[in-house]
Amino acid sequence: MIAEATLIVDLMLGALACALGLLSVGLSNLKQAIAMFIALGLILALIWLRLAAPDLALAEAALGSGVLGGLLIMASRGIKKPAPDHGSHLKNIAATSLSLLLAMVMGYASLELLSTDNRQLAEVLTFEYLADSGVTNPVTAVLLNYRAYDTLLELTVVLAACISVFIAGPQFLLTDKTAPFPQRLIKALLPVIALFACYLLWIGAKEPGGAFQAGSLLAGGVALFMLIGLRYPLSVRSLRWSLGLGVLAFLVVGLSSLLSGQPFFTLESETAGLVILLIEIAATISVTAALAALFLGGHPQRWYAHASKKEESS
Amino acid sequence: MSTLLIFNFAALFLFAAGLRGVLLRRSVVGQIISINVCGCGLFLWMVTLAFRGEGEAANALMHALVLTGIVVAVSASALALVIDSRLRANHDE
Repeated sequence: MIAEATLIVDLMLGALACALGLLSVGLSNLKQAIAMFIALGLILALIWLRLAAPDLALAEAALGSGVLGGLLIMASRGIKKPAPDHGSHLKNIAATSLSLLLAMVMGYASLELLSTDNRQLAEVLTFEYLADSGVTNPVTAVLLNYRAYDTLLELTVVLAACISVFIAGPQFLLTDKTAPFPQRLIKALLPVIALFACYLLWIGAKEPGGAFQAGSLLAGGVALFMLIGLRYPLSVRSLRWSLGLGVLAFLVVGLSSLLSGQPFFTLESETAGLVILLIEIAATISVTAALAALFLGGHPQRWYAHASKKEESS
Repeated sequence: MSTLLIFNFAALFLFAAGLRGVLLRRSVVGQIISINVCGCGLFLWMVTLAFRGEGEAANALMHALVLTGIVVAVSASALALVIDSRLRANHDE
């Protein structure tokens, strides 16, 4: 009885995801397509819960729906009339058949992959050596211990994207054009968001949570803070330090183990938990500053100049 | 018809829809949405392959890879949106 009920839920979630995907790709009105995309992110977060991936659900809800949805809405604000999509019939048929062909090849491969039942080396590493890794959450252990180099590169990518946005961007966020937001509600929500983000960061060693989930949630909070007309909460100098802190902490830990003759980023069993927590705190600050600065859409200096000009004129 | 088959099909459907959107849409923001839908499909596919059953823990390595993928996808999409915004601003001048 329970099995059928969960199967029906899975069927509904899968059908909803397909429908939302089709709508967000097919609608020519950009605002509607973005709304469908945000809803797709929510449905995807529920599917992650069904597939035993609660860390991913947290990250998807905060990043995929929250940050990316907000950025898409900001970007679509300037577009009066998007370019019409209708290509020739031949082009339509060619594109659809190519996509379906590729998907069917991947489907055939996945049937093979789903039916084999081999214990991967990764699972052996994750579960049999989990006690030595310093944390009890296997995803955190993989992210910050076994595959820490990937996380270092991920933080570098976020930093690089942020810097590139500073260089390339005009301004997204013009506070004099935002609709009236419920200021008191958001001001009341902000401490709750900050508390929850700290909780997610702390609990990431044992339960689902961790640096990226906490960082993206806090970045959403800072984005709300900026949207209701308050300033970006960091000066330019502390912004530079906050952005670099994650990569810096990682490199310090990694190179210090080189100095003692061991390979890059080797953690000792006894101190691993503490070192991972310190790196996670630095990474959270970094990710929050970077993701929130993406909403600025340009160099913060220009935003501060614009904001101070507004204060002088008002 | 099991859980895995349902989500496998949904993942590949999302992938195909996103790919079709990338090929056919003319506005850059629409293309970015389509690339992200394609990416969502791929992530769903990877997590479905990492699923090990109702009570057992799933493959944590795949989950970490998908987490990294989500963060990188958001960063790259943000950069693409800003570049497009700048191009449009330059074009309108």
